[in-house]
Formats: sequence, C-alpha cells, structure tokens
Amino acid sequence: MSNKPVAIIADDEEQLRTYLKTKLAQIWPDLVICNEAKNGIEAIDQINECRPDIAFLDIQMPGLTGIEVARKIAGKCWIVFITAYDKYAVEAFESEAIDYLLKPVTTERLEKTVSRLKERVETQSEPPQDFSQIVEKLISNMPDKSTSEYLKWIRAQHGDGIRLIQTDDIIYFKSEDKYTCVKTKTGESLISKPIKELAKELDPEKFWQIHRSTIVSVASITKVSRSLTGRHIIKLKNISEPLTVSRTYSHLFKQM
Amino acid sequence: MKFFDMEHPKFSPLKLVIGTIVMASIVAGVLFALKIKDISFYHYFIFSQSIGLSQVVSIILFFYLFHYLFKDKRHLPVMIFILLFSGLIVGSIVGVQIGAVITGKAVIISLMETKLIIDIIIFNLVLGIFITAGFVIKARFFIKLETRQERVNQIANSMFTLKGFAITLVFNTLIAIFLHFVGLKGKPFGSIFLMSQCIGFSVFLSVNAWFYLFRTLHPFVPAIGGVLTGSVLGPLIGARLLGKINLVVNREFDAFFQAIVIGLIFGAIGSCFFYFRAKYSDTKAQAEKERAKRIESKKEAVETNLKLLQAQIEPHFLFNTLSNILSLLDTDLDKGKSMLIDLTKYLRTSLTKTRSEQTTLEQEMEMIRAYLSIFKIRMGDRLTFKIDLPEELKSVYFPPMLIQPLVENSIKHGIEPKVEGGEIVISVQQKAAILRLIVKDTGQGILNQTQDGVGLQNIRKRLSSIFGEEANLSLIENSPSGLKAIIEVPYEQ
Repeated sequence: MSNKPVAIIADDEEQLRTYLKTKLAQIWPDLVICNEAKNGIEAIDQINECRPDIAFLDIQMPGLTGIEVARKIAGKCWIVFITAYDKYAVEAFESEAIDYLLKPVTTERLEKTVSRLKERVETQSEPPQDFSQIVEKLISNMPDKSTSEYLKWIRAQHGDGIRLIQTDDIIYFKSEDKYTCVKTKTGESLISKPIKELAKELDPEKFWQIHRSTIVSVASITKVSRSLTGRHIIKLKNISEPLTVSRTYSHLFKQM
Repeated sequence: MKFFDMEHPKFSPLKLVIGTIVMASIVAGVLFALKIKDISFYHYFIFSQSIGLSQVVSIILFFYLFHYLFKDKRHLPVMIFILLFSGLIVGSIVGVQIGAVITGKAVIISLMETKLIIDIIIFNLVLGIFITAGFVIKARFFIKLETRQERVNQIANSMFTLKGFAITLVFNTLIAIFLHFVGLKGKPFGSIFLMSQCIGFSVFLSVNAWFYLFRTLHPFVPAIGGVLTGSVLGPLIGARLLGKINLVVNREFDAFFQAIVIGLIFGAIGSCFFYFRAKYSDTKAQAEKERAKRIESKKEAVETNLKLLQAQIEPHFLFNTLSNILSLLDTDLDKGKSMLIDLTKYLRTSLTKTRSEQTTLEQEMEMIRAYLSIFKIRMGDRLTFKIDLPEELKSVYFPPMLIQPLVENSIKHGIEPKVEGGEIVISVQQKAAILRLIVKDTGQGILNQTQDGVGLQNIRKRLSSIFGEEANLSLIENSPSGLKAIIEVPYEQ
C-alpha cells in the first residue's frame, strides 16, 4: 500500500462527481481518486476492488442509497455522506466514523472535512468497525422506506391494460363468484385474488373484514348502526347501499 | 332530525301536557259555542281533554318505543309521519273510550265482541309469524338469496299477488269457522266471518305496506308491525260495517266517530306546528353547518396552496440543482447558464402559477420542459423526454400543478431510482368532450416500492374539487416497465 491516501466518489450526477474531484484535487493534492461510481451497486464493487481509505457517498443514488452502501461496507473505509438536503438528519449522527457534506459543497466546508480525514487516515490506520448501529439508525430515519409489508397497490385487469389501484382509494372488497369486486369512489374493478388472501395482505389498521365475503376500508365508514336483531349495519362514504356485519366480526364494532 | 332526538328532546313533557290541556279547553269552548252536538260543555270538555291528552301521550310513547327499539334510523321522515299518524289514531280511539267511560256514556265495544276481536288478532299474529317464517326460509334456503335485502324484496314481491289475496281469504274463513264452532258458540256466523275478513285483510294490506316502506329492515319487523297496525284498523272497519249487528252501541257511535275526527284534525294541526318548528331549527342548524364547512374548505384551499408551493421548491431538487450549477460554473459555463435559465423559468412560472387558478396548457408544458431540462443536464444519458402537445390544444386553460406532480413522480420514483434510467413521454389528447393528459415513463414502476403516494391523493382531491365527479386519475402499468398516469377531465370547446 502506497503512502498516498485513496478515495472513491459515488454520485449519480456526473457534474457533481467532477466538481468534487476538482475541489479535492485543489485542497488535498495527495489524495488519489481511484474510481468514480454512478450508483450504489458500482460503489460497492469499486470499494471491494480498490480498497480505498475514504468513500464519498451521495445518499440518494439509484441501485442502493449511500446509507445502504455504508451498511454493506462497514469498517472497510471512512465514510463521508453527501446530500443535497438533510432530511435523513445525518448531522445528528456525525461521529468519529461518519462525516457529511451538504450540497452545494463549499470550499471552506470541504477543507474542514479534509483536515479531519487527514488526521484520521494518518494517525489511525484502521477505520472503526462498529458503526453499523449508526447506519441502522440512519436507515430507520429514512422517510421513504417505510417497512410496511402490507399491500399498497392492487393490480386490476381493465380494457386499457393493468390498472393500478391504490389501496387508500378503495372503499370495499366484495367477493362475487370467482372474482373479487374492488369498489372505489370512481367505479369498480374485478380482481382474481380471493377475499381470504386479501384479508391477510391488507393492513389490518386500515381494512376490516366484516363478513365472509366483505372487507371494508375503515376510513370510509361513515356510520355504524344496529338493526332490530342486533346486527351491526355500516354505511360507507359514497356508497348508498348499507353493508351488514356478520356475527363473527361484530366484535370489531363493540364499544364504538 | 332534531324532532326525533329522544335523548335531547326539544320539548319538556310538562310543557307539552299543559299546552295540550289549554288547547283542548279552547277546542271544547269553540265546539260548544258552535253547538255542533246537543250536549253540555262538560261533555265537550271531558272529551276534548281525554282525546287530546291521549293523543299526546300515545305519540310520545310511540316515539320513545321507536327510538329505543329501532337503533337504525333510516326512513326518518316517513317514520315520523307514520308515528304521528298512528299516535293520533290510537290516541283518539283510546281518548274517546276514556271520555265515554268518564262521562258514563257507553263502552263502545261490548265484552263479547272484544273477545272475538282479540281472538282474531291472536290468530292473525300467530299465523303472520308462521307465514313470514315460511317466506324467509323459502327465500333463504330454497331460492338461496344471499343478502337480507334480496330476501325481503323477494318476500314483498311474492306476497302482494292474487295468490296472496286468495290465501288471505281462505285463512280468514278458516279462522271464522274455527271460532264459530269452537270459540264463540251462539254468535251469528255472518258477523264473525265479516269481522275476521276485515281484520285479516287489514293485516294483509298493512303488512304489505310495511314491507314496502321498510325494505331494509329484518323481515319480522314489517310482519309484526303490519299485523299490529292491521289489528287496530280491522276491528274499527268491522265495527263500522257491523253497525247494525249491535257490535257498537249504535246511537253513540256517530258521536264518537265525530269526536275522533275532530280530535284527529286538531291533533294533526298541533303535530304540524311542532314538526315545522323542529324542521325550522334544523334548517338553521344546517345553515350554520354549511357556513362552518365553507370556512373549512377555504382554509383547506390555503393549506393546499402552501403545500403546492413547498412541493415545487422541494429542497432536495433545489439544492441539487444549485450545486450542479455551481459545478458547471467551473467546468461548462454554457451548460451552467442554460441550467440557471431553466431553473429561473421553472421557479417563476410555478411560483406565480400557484396563486392563479388557471394557466394554459402551453405555459404548463413550458414549465415542465424547464423542469425536465434541468434533470436532463443532471442525469445525462439516463433521462430522455418528449412533450407532445398538439397545436390546437396549446391555448386550452388548465389548472396548474396537476401534471407537474405526475412528472415529478415519474422522475423521483420511476427514473431516478432505476440504474439505467429511462424515458418520460408527456402527451395531451382530446377526444370529443374529454381531455386526456398522459404521463408515461419507462422507470421501475410503482409496485416495487413502498411509497405511499400521498401526492396522488392530492391530485385526486384537487381534480374532484375543480372538475367534480367527471374528472379522474388512473394509473396503468406501462409495458415492459414503468407507469402510465392518465388524467381525464371534461373538455369544452
């Protein structure tokens, strides 16, 4: 290993890579940029290939985000995250292991980062192994990656192709013969997925099964009343026909 | 309707009773002054009071019964009418009887006849329940109707037929024969027969009427309700027809009948007064609600505008673009300039547009072109785009910020996350009275990700608030990859 420190730059936008490279060349002429990555997957390959001391990682990249890359290469090099807008609150996680830069990167800020990096690379030869915890926290902070495993979209065959229906738009599902009828404010579609399967895949906070053949969206319920025989009857937004809750599911409406 | 809100009644019972007494006294005075019947003021007074009070009491009683028995408050206006009406009738009949007893005039129906009537009613009730049960079983297990609604419809339809009439006639006759030989020996068969038919057919017709009015309730509700209503009406009609056969103390009957009619008229006037007063206060409350709603929607509009504004100068977009421009100042001055021009164009149009209601499609597309041009420089080969706006549609007015969020979605969730990038095609078509805007991308599609699509909900909300029910946004899978978002709105020349 030569004495010169090595780094890679990962950013999906070419201009920004070039810009950072030029700036680094001015501020830290000794630093060797061994490679540039256009996306997260390339970044991992290059890190494994040329074993840099430092990785400049843009957070929002196709393939894998900068944070995901950091998780995969934990301990192999020092990390500097770059982001246009600090919605991941990287700042809060600034530590020995992780530095960050906000776009547009100014010379002054980059100088500060470089001096810190120099110190680390020159005094300590090994980057800390254990920052996975910080990365996990960062990932849990990422707003776009909700970990919900419930159905968000329903695919329904229509004349014009496969239509995608957001589950939030659905008022109720009702089984009809071999198909399931999906009712939305604007109309209805037939899908082949049976109620039984849907009941397992839909978010139970948002959808309730009220009958062997019916699942309704909780947010669409406008009124719950009782019939003379004690059955619950529910009225749904934009739907004139009331639906009956079968006894098996009436516990959902108790104490309401 | 407030009129019916038994938990927070609009009237205090005490006030109602005092009001009724006063009103009944006035009625008695007026009738006495008019000398409608040659009887003393005492009689008028007692009859007025007993009829009036019985009416009020029975109406309140009926309302309370309905309120606690039927948690399901559908058909409210019809129900109020029926309750008022039956309350008035029952009150009048009972009132006349009470008045007659107090004044010692007569007992309308002799004990014997009462027994006859009660017997017939019991028969009817039992039969009614059995027949209804039969119908329900038939509809459920033989015709196999899934929902209760279908079953009730089936029962209602199969009952009001010639066959239904014939069966009723046969049943009534059987009841009459049975009572003649077993229950009431010595009564002339004719009168039992007539009474039985009167009650039977009243029950039959009222059950049908109930089924017609309360199609959504459990079938036993109209069955029992019908039998009870018919049981009140039937004996009255029977007694009227059998007037000669000494069922009713004959001479008094007309007087009682008149008393009932007069009581009904005044009762109806009183009810109307209360009904409309309640309705008036309801209307006022409604107007208040509307006003609150208007204010709410105004507030919402302001909030949406604010959100739109924020959406356009989305920080991530802005800072990324600015740092691109900064880097281009060192490397490619011309590119940097053109990017700055595009950013200015985009910001200017979008910032001024959110405040105006409408822009032309041309303006909107220019803004989108600027937006996409910025991304084109940033993403290089990874993005290609095409905007297809026919010449004749350029000057069409269109609300701002409906297409842009779709384009933004295509970039953000379709093309940007996809390693090899893709193409965005925006096109506008007009077919007859429909304007169709399509944003198509070859990105990674929507199913692979977990985004919530709050933006889409906002577009839907805006579409429906601007165009009403006729507008719609649909999402269709693009083949082989990506997403096609289609906005359809009504188009006027």
